[in-house]
Amino acid sequence: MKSEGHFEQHDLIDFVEGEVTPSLADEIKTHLETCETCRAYVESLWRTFAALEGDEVPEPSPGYWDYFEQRVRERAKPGREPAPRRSLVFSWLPGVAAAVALVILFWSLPEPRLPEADPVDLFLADLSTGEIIESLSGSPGIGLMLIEADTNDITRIDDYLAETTDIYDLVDQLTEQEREIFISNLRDNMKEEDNTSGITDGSARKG
Amino acid sequence: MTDLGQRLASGDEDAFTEVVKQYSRKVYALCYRTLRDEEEAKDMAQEVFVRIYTKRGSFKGRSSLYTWIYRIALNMCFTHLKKRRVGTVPLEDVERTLSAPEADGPGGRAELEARLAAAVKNLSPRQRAVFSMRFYDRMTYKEIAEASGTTTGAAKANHHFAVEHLRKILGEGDKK
Ligand SMILES: [Zn+2]
Repeated sequence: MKSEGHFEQHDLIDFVEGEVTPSLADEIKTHLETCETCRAYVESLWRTFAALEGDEVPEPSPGYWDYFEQRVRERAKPGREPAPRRSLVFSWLPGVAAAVALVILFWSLPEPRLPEADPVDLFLADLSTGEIIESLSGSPGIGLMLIEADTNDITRIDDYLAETTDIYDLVDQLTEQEREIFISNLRDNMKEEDNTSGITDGSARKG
Repeated sequence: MTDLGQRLASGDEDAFTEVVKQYSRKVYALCYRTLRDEEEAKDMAQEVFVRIYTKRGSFKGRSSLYTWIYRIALNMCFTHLKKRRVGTVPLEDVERTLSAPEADGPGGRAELEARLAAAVKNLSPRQRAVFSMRFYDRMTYKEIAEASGTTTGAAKANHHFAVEHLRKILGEGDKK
């Protein structure tokens, strides 16, 4: 879509990646013939991608791969497995290392083990206030979402991963009182959310 | 569910060997591109497969085996980075790196590598991961969303943000 006579950067990126429809591609090609600005942008994208093709992954020494599976199996032997699932995670979910990260997930189904393909109700909420940032109802069976306040990155963690100690490390950083306040705020907000019922597909996050 | 995924989930040991063969290098590359540290990526790739092995029974085929494995890898990388508390490099550092003279002179291989490393490190780990899956693994936004735990819209937004950021640093490098 054009803005001030030029194509949006998003369209030009999609164009360079071959992600636009044939008709839009033709439209952009025609525009590039006469527009210096858009052409310069597309050319700088090509230069960028060419440079990134040269960003190689260092190859580990051959021995690394020779014994890779053997080392994995050694480390995976019983007795080294993470602690079994604890139940607290599944009625609500905290995340978070204090200052930075915040959010939470929440779902309305009573059973932690979600049936395959059953949608769950997910809410992104601010851990400090319980305020719902976004409703993601209808997302496929997923458990926990975290959002980083500093980067706006969203993390979704599948329920089978929620049982790992890493997540519990985060959970354990909340004091009992913080959890209570959080859950209580979250529940209040969920009630309001129900009333207004603003369901989104989650693709348009507020930024 | 793919055959391999099914066999893996049922505890078939040969299936695990096959999974290691098919995915270990991809997982290592993804870990490296997310962590940007070779030693950490090597350790992480190994731990990812330990996790795959111990959790294989929980693979239900809701997503493809490929994205399931990638999701485990990414979650472990992100968790690791949270502990390390190093996500991005301050922009001033990038500028310093970019203006630092390199042994083989401007436009040389070393300069390009320094430029690339600095540009990529300045992205958030998630942006690096999304960009890597898109650019190097040619994954669709739907697959990236599944693997990285976001929506397709967020995956695309992360990718475009990364592209634009990288373009600013790399795409105009030789222009005055
Ligand atoms: Zn234009």
